Amino acid sequence: MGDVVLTSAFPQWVQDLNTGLSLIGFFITLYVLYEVKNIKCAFLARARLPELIKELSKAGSALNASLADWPTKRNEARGQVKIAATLLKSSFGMLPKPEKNELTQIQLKLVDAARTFSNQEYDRVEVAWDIYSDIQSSITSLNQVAKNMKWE
Amino acid sequence: MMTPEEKLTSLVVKLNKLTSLDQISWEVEDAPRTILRGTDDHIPLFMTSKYKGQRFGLYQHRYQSYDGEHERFYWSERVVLAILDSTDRVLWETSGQSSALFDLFETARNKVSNIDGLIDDLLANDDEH
Repeated sequence: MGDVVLTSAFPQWVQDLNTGLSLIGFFITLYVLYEVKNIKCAFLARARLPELIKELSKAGSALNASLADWPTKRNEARGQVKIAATLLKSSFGMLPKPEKNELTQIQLKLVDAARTFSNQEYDRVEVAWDIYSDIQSSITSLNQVAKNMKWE
Repeated sequence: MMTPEEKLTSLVVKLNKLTSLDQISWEVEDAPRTILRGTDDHIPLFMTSKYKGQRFGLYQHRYQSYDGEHERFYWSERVVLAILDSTDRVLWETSGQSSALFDLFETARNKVSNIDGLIDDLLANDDEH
């Protein structure tokens, strides 16, 4: 039995062009998927970031109140620092890389502080003020990111 | 290098810390007329302090805004930190919706009112009875 040879109605150069265009289409599809993901993240950030900044500000204000009565309110302060660390971590998916790197350092510092708040070094209120300062610094950075998003 | 906003936040946090540690003190005064002249605004509480030769003003500022959609005025409030000269002219001010600024205002207000001492004193009277 002889082999069956299928012949195309189109000339070879059309078939080659078709293959090439399909390949290009595949890469364009990948690029579109990547851009859609970025747009989705940007919309999520625009919706979530202002609320997150508000919640972080509340934690900062509660910590400020605790600092006035130090070290009596150390445990309350620890709770607020933990909340602030969690909120910062949840913001990472919404941030551009430079801000994310900067805030990662602050978030790690807050996590460490929450873990070691009972240590002797935190008997001095000045050390706790450094933590408050870091939280306010992160709020300032997040506010700038939120402002920049309005222009995107 | 710090951005202007970061420098400002650092300044506000520093003033807050110095106030909390009683290294600077705030005094309640009448709001200077230079701030309110030509406006219908209201300043419920005005405090001043001195730090490094600079005179700071810290106050609540209530002002009217216009809602075009409903065609009516409404009151808004903000906290302002200002640097004043010897004749109470405002040389510089900042009034962003910053939690650091609100916290500074709360700390200064609590110190000025001595609320902790006041409550302790009131409770002590109850114990004597």
